Amino acid sequence: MSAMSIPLTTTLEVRGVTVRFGGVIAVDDVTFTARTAEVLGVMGPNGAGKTTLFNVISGVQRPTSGEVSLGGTRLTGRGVEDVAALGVTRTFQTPVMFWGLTVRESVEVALAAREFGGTYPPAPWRELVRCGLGTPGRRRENAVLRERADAILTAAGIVAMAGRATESLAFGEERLLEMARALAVSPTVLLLDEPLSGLNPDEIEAVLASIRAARSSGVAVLLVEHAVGELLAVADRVVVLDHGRKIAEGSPQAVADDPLVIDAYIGDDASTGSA
Amino acid sequence: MGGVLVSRASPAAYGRIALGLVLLVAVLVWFLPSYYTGLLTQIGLYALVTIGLNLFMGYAGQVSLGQAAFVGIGAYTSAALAVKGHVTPWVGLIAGALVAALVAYILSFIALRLRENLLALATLALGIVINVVFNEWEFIGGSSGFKDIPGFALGTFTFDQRAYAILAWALVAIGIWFAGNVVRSSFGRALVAISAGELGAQTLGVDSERLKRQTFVLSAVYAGVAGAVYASSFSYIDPSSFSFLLSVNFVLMSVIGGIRSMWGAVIGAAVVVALGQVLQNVVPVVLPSARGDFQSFFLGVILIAMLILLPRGITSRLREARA
Ligand SMILES: Nc1ncnc2c1ncn2[C@@H]1O[C@H](COP(=O)(O)OP(=O)(O)OP(=O)(O)O)[C@@H](O)[C@H]1O
Ligand SMILES: [Mg+2]
Repeated sequence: MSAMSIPLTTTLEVRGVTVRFGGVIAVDDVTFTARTAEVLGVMGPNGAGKTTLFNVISGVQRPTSGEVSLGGTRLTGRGVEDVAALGVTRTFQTPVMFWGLTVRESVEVALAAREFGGTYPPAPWRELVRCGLGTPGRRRENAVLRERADAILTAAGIVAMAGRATESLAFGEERLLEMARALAVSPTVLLLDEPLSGLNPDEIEAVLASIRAARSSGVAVLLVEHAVGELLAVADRVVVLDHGRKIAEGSPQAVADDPLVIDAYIGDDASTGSA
Repeated sequence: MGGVLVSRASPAAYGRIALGLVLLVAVLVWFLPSYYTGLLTQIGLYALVTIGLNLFMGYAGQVSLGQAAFVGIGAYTSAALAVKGHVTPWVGLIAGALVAALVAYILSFIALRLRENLLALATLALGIVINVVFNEWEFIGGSSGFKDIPGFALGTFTFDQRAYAILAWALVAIGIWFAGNVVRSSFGRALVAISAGELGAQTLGVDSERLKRQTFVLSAVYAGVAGAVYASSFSYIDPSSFSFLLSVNFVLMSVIGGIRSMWGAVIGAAVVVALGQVLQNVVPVVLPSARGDFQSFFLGVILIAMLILLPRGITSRLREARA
């Protein structure tokens, strides 16, 4: 609900974000904005600070300085679930699965949070009591959640695996599920950390289609991806990080031609491990 | 794998089997010697505590070493109301559950902020602190506790051992039914999600701290109810009835039966109580010179062996055999 109250013209603003781990500066004074209905590519060699940046935006990591806000609402300082309730969700470089649940149930977890205004369970104890008593009202809601989960799985092209245990999924299937789960919360901002890595060509097509569909429904998609060709093809704009600093920002074409960017990638290849 | 960890029996099936269990006990008590009827009550009350603990350990993925404290709080609340205020144990039962819940709620604000192993320590500390309170507070009997605690009654019928066994197992049935519903609901799925991938669930909006808190409080309600019935059925309590050792036993019951199985709670409670009885009878015969400590020692050895052989509990092996 809270995410819906944020107007569609909203932007994600990252202002002067710095993250230090002891002596390492993982993210160094990074500033940029992401707009609704666009795919913002985030590029950079290994260790450039991309995941750390996502951690800051999603509330996993407190920045040493700087702040992130969404449509004027400050996100920095809030808990991960509260950031999610405000409309920012993400996937992980290594997919996080809910072992013990089926594919459909995993999506239902996301839908339940959405249903109760962004976070689950709601503060009143009523929800626990209704669940324990299995009240008819609660059971009707369960049936609705189930239908909506199937609709989401259908849209993601994975409804065939709805009843499977998450433990049985192949790596690519895990990525597809994680993406579907994230879309289930109807995010305003979706952070995808290397969603294409480890996927076969069909799965890559499926994920790219989901990304485009999310964009056309107004989501601001931030995409970290090492597959530079795919990233440049799907992104509307690109931000490039190197050693924590933003070294370029612009259209995919401009960024691809930027000597600094080319340098960063070649320099990284030449001195692997020294950074 | 998922099927092994999370039983998917329908809630209706759960309710029916639980009801069958009560009927079985209701018949059994007419044939058992009263000593065994008492044991049956004890197993039922321990099972009730363990069902609540299973929600917290098996689903929320946390460890509590303080459940005996909540049993004690339920028992003392009900006993104090009955002895000092002549309040019926039926009301005492609800009051005991509420006070246990309140203490768990307050503790959760400190304990759930801590990392997992520290949470276990915090609940352990609670157990010790509560025991000191029981010992030192003269109003509730100090170290000698309460004697002659009034029993439950329905109209003119005052509960006897048989009635307590039936009451205990009726509560087990209700407890299993409620917990079974929780586990199969959005709430239970969110619990599984946080114990499997906490950060992943949080990024979807799952408030893991609130979820754990509510589950912890629910587990305290189960323990508090069991404590209130315990006080009246044994008509005597003192601080040593709710020691740290009992908390450890609850964890053992939970793990032995299988932390994600509601039936496992019943089996775990039965196994631990039965083993204790067997050792009490066998050890003096085999080792006449052995003192009482040896029974705890052998109990410990057997339980550790079971944990090694059946790390996911007895019920997991049963389900694997069936699959
Ligand atoms: N929790 C942490 N503690 C200490 N250092 C960290 C931590 N997390 C990241 N770093 C360091 O911060 C830098 C940026 O790491 P980050 O994971 O953000 O890079 P990345 O761009 O996502 O790399 P990759 O493409 O390999 O995923 C690296 O030098 C890394 O070693
Ligand atoms: Mg990374």
